[in-house]
Amino acid sequence: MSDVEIQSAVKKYGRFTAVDSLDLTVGGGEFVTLLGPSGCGKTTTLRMVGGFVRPTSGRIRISDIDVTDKPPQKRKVGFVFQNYALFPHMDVARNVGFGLRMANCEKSLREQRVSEALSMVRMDHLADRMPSQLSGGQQQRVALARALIVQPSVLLLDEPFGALDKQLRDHMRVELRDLQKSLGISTLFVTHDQDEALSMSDRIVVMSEGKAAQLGSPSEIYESPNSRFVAEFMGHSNIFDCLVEDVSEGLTRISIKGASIFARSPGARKGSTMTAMIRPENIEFAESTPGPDSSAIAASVAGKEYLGSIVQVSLELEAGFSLVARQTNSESATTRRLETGQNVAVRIPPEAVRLL
Amino acid sequence: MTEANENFRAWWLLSPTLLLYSLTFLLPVCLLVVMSFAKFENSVTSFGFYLDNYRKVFGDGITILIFWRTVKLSIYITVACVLLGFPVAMVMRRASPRGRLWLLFFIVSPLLTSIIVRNVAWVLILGRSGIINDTLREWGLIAAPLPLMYNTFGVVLAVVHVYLSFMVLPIYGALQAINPSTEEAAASLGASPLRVFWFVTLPQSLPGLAAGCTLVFILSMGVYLTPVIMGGNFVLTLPMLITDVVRNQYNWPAASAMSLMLLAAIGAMVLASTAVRRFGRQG
Repeated sequence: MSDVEIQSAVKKYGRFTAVDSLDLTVGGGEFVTLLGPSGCGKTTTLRMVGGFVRPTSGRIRISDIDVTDKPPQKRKVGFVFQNYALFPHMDVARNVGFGLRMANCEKSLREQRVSEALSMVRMDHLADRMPSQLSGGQQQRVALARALIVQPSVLLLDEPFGALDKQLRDHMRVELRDLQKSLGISTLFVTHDQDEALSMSDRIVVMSEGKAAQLGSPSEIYESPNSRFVAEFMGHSNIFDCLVEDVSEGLTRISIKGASIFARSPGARKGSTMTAMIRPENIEFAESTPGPDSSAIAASVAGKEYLGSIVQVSLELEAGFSLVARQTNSESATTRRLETGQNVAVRIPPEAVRLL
Repeated sequence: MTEANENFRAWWLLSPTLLLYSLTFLLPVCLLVVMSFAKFENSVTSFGFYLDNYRKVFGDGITILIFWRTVKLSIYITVACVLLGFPVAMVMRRASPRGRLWLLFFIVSPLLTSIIVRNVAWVLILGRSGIINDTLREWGLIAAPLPLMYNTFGVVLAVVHVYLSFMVLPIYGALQAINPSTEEAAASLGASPLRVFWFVTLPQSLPGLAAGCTLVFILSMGVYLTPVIMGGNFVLTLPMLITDVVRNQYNWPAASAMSLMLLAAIGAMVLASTAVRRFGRQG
């Protein structure tokens, strides 16, 4: 049983292909995120499910019913828009009750369910306010209550936190996720923010040029990106072309601009060119300059960035490429003591290197 | 610089306009008020505080009748402009930029033509031996020519043609300001296209609709030349009556009282429209 099924959906605008044969199934109350840069087709995909965009080809099914040719009002989806799209001429209660009114729900029952929906999002005390009198977070909650009151088969969220400031965004993230879990409603969420996607999703679809570049759990997407695009988009900074020099017993020797590094990453073929990703938080600092037989590499500190909870250092390696290292800001953190221009030795453990 | 100072400087920018308006609007209106209380007897105007003109305007039966006819005509024109203009504004909103420009040009084009040329063209089209009647008679569809002008229909048609743009543009402006997502939200909450329009689009476009109705109504109340040409002597409006009283009877005091009556009706319309707009904002 799936709540949403997108079957090789294609959307073309003239010669431009916004969505390119995308397949996706969402069901069982899971939270799936469409993640990607602007123009990757994630919003178009969501709008196809909502019924606002007709796919050029392919089918859309909601609750196992083909809705490809059905208008939005016959789809039973709850859509939350980026700018909330509250009806500016109606107060909060009438905004939330709109869906029930369209379903010709009796007035007394409607009022009861509106007050239930409003208390669900903790907005019952503001039922007679106009949208213009509400803060961004409050508008967000009203939009959510309005979408959920009709008990849709699926909740569709289009960058719902885009207009909120950071603190409120983090707060609403938790609140939305808790609400979604308690209702057990399958949710399709669109965002360009990796942190948002990683913290909220059961599964993430990273989209690029209308296609699904990778589909997986947040940890799979973050730790094992399947392409350079996904790795870069997920915010990894140390991505290099490398040459596979030797493969033996699970340990692979690669060379990045002549510097030999070991990687514990399967699937490498000797002599092939691959992409290496080095996780900045796994880079270790050796105390002294490296001896000739050491696995440490000589580097100099090119810059240091203090980010509060973490300290980030950019290193210039002798081999001629730069590397970003990151440590949690604690009393023992080596990065705290490093100065720009200082020479250091760094060790890159094989576990920190992933070959794509 | 203090805020009060800045405000003061901004007000200075208005001074040329204020001067012009004082000379061409406020002053004449004051003169009208004074004149309306004057007495006109044996072709002699004597100033003072006489109510004779108002007694005549409200009491002779004919002025009030023509006033109501003018109001009715203006309502017909306004309603026709709403019915024709709203769909046009809706299409303009959805049109491509190029299509929108063409529509705009099409709607505004009557304003770019001389009023005489426009009305003569209407006579050629709608007249007893105009294009329409001649064609229909040639095809044997009618025996006698249809009464297409020298009646209310002809006047309304010709006036709507010119004033439609004053309805379309404010409505289009209001529609442009509507967030399309509110209409999509309504649809996904189960509203059919008709209900989306009724519950979401229309209420949000009320300010523009009110502005358009005010403009068209006010302009229609004062329309003169088009009813003269298109209505012949069969459609008499208050401006025509006022002109007649001034030109043929030289009775400026009576004409002033009638003009103030027209002005009062227009003022009432503006107040009503402001109320609607305020209502629109509140919901």
